[in-house]
Amino acid sequence: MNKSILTFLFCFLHSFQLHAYEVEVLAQELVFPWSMAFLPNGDMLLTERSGRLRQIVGGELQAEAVSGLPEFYVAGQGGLMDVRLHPDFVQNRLVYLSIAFGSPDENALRVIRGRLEAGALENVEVVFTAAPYKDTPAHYGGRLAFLPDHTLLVTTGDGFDYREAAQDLKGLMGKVVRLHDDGTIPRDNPFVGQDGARPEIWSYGHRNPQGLLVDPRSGLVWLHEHGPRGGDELNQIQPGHNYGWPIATFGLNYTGDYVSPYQEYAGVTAPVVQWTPSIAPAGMAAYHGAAFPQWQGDLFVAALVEKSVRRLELRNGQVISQELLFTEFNERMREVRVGGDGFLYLLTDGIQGRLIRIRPE
Amino acid sequence: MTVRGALLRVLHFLLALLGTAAVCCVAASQFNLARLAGMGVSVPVSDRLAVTAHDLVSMGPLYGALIGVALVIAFPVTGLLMRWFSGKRTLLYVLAGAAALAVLLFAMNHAFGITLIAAARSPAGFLSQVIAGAVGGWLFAYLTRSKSAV
Repeated sequence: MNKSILTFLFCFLHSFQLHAYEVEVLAQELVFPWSMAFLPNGDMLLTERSGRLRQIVGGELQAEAVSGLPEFYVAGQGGLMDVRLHPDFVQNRLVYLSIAFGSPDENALRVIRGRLEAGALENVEVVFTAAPYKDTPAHYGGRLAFLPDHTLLVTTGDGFDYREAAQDLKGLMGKVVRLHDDGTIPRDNPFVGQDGARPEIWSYGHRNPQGLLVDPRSGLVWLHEHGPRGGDELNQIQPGHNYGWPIATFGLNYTGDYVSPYQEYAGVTAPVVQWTPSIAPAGMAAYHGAAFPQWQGDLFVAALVEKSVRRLELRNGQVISQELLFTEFNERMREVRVGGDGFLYLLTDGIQGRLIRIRPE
Repeated sequence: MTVRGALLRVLHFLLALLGTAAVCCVAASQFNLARLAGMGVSVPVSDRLAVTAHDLVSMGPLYGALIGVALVIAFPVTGLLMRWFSGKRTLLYVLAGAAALAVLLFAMNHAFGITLIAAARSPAGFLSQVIAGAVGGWLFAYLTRSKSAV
């Protein structure tokens, strides 16, 4: 991974605005990379869906994966997915991972945590399991984000075959759940004490949410989710709200028939943006760095099918313009994050995925 | 078989395919709408008709092509079986159409690990598609009733 020989310069003119940036490939031959986290010293953790937690130390990908991880269920869209550091990581060294767990007949999304010590994950414990189990290897959700009060948000998918479960408050599929950092349930969750509803639920009516972030400046919680054939959505999440799947959607079934004839419905919170045809949104970041002042406050959405990163310009919580970036790579974009250095970090999807750093020219 | 006879057989096959695909799509719409109703969504008759018409046009071509592949295998095999069960011609085509849809759905589920035809997620929805295949088989047997086996 000699980054010096993999450095290229690109200058592109997009939408009346000049973005001059330098592209640096930090790692390649990653096996279906999914997510990344920045350690306080600038090093990084990378997940590969195949089950390896990799480290970037001093800018170099380490050959040895982090040890101590449990067995995963690696199939279809499942495996090792998101990685997030506890907000007090400097003190407690806690790393949170979302994984697929179980067997072909009984599997589910699970969140685990452990202490990162000298290249190993220690004292690994289960924080959350998205019951009930399912028998499909698809639609796990799996994104993690901490709120300012240090509670943890987790997205869960509908398992593809169980779309109606997203509207069922007795189960945890197709939801955003909110937990204390140890997995216990906050007493101020919106459905606590409500008969027939799981107290973990924070919002519901989601299909396969693979983007989640808490904007540190605005405090807004942004989530994006895959639609079926069309109807990918960017949602602003409010506790207790119903985001509609599968009652209201702009998408069709893959075979062309209606999921629902309704694009909006009473009691359903409409998306801020919907993308038809699908772009397959897979990762998301909010930009508040210093390296690209023209991008201040913007959202970045990594898109698999569109092979792009979309820059969303916001005003008062609404998207006022969109711009396609990094289409020149012609690669499925799995993840986008902003490093402590203010640079953009991209993960490309595939059996030879890459970690790419975008910095000003 | 003459050229005219062969062309007529193709036409009969296409008509049977059209009928099968139409019944499949209409049934799929009703099962999808029933799922919505199960979540408390009220769908008036006008919307129900519009959904059904939409699905016929939107779902028909792709699903019809897949059904066509299944039937184009199933019906000639039935023609061969006729040598041993010549008195059961209509029954054999009905069973062949049903089997073709069942195998198609199982094969798609196995290939993708998910249920691609949303309406076929429940046993009743799956059965509706299989029955549509049986209807297609009956239609083909009826259209070709005065001819020898395929």
